[in-house]
Amino acid sequence: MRLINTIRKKVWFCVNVAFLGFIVATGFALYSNYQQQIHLTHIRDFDFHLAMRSNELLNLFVIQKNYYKESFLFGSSDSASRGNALCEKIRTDIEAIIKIKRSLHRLPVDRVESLGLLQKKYHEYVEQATELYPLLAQGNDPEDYIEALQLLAAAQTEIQNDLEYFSGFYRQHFSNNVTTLMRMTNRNSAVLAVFFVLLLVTMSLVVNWAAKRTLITPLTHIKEAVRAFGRGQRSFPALEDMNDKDDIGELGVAIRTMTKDLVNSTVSKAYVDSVFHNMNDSLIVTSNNFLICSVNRATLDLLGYKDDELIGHHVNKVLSEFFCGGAESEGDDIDAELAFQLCSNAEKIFLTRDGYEIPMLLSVSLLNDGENAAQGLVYVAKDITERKKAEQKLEQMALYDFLTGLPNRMTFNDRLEQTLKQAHRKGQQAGLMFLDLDRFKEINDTMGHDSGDALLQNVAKWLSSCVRESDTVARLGGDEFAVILANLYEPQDVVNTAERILAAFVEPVIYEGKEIFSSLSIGIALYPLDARNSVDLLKNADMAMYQAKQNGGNNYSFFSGKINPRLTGSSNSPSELSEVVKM
Amino acid sequence: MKLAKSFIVFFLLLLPVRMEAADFVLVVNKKNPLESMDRSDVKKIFLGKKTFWPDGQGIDVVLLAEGEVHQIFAYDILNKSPRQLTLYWKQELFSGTGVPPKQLPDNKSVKAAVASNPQAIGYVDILQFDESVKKIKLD
Repeated sequence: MRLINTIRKKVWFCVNVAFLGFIVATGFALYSNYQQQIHLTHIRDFDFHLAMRSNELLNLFVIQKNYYKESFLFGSSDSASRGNALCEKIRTDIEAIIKIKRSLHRLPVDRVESLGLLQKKYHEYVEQATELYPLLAQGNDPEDYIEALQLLAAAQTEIQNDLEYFSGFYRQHFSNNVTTLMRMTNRNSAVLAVFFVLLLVTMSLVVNWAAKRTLITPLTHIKEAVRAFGRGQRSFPALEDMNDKDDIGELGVAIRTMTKDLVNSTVSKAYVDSVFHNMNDSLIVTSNNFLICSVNRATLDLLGYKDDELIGHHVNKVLSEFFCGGAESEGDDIDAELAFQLCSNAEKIFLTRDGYEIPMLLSVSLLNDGENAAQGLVYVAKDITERKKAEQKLEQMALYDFLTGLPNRMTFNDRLEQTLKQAHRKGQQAGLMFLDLDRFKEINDTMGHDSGDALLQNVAKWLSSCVRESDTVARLGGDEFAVILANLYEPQDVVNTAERILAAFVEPVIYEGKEIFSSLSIGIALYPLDARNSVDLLKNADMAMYQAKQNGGNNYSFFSGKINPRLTGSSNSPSELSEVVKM
Repeated sequence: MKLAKSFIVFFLLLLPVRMEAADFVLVVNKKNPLESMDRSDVKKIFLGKKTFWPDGQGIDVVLLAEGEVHQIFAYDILNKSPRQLTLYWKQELFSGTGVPPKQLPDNKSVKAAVASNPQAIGYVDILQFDESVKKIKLD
């Protein structure tokens, strides 16, 4: 089998096996025919000749006898001489038969001897007959030859009987041999038929086996390997033992090599699916008309859908704020419409099944495979909820005070600016309070920073509770606070607020079982009365606070530059100093 | 049929005429016990098909020479012409199946031959019959 390595050789092998069968069958047929030919030749050369000759001899003898009879009955000398003329011919025939018989060694000798006897008898008969019958024909009285005639008649009868016997025997012999030959022919035909059938079956089996072994099985292996490859299988044990010296084996080896190369150089669908489904980011693929073709598991988990609830639906089911492109005209420019959707790292909102909004960082790109037109869009989105929270936290930290949650100085400046602008535009008044805790340093030093912080948080709470919603409480730093009072109707409102604040500080702050008593000094500046801009206003409020501190703290004081007459002297009455720390 | 009938009539007319004109009588030796014989037996004997008397003795046949009586005998008993009878015996002689019977020249010699041979059988002119031989009736 190793030698039969090309398809040509394999086919020729099969053809030659069949041809060999044909040759053997023909050989047997020829041999059979040859045997029959030998028999036929024998029959032609011996049996047929013997039968013919003996029959002819009999006929000749009868003819001769009839000539003699004619001559005897009617006295015809002519007939007698005709009879005599046949003698030589009959003798020759007898000799010919004896010769044929002698050449046949297989015949029994006694028959040849009896032929010799016949020859002798005939010889004697003829000697007398050739003399007597012409004599009688000439008119001699038969009465005188009765004895001789009777002898002759007896010899005649004997010879004729012998000849009839031989003729019959040889005819029978010929017939028997022909029958034997016919039987042999029939038997040969039957044997040949059986032999041919056996040969045909054998050859068919051999050719079938060879074809299966050398052609069909390897091709089947290759076919199955290719199918298995299509299903994703990557190793083919059936192809491993293929010999690359063989045509088909070469094909198998080529396929094996090809699959290995493909495995090395390309990614399988399973691999892509694995990547697709295992990626953490959300991935949605849509068709040209924005119907969802596939979504990955991350998307489903994120949005709470099952995949059959999304596939085939419009992408706007999950993507809020979906806008079609400007190309409203019957989609004659699909690419333009698709291109309108493209974006990179845009912040978009996805809608979950339950209606929640999830901020996503979305990138949309065209789905195409090289030269062809786009087949759809690929949406890759990342959940940025955490980042959004962090950003908000950062913003909080930048604009608000960490400890108290109040707007910090920067925010305060901004708000003050805004408030003043609004007041200016609407011709309203606004007030600014500058607040500073009395003896805060002392509290901090004696009771610890934690207590100080707790105090500051409480202060922030009190301040917030003492002002309107529209007012702004801010911590400017340390123990300094400020309150912006927007849309002020009259200065008395400021006084009321200040007094509310001061009253709130009557209660101590309880921290870790200790009561902390505190008070504060408030400086008030009014817009547009005390200053026309925020910087001056703050400075004036600061100065007023300082004034209040000068007056002993736990007190409020208006900016003194242009003191409102109505307020003068009414507010500067110092309250009793509360006990700072009550153990 | 008509022809056959006319032939029969012809022969019926012919036979008595012939018998009147010339007839034969079958004779044997006086020692022969037989009184009568079948025509077919006679025919067999004269054609050499039957060669023994019932008592086992051989039969010696004697014929009359060519003549009216012989002819009548040949036609009447053997259904042959005298020539046919001669040929018949030549054939018999040629094939060796029989020997032609002796043919004696006249009634007298026939009577003598039959009278002298107890096994002989012959025929003579009915007018020449005498007591030296025995007459056999034909059935």
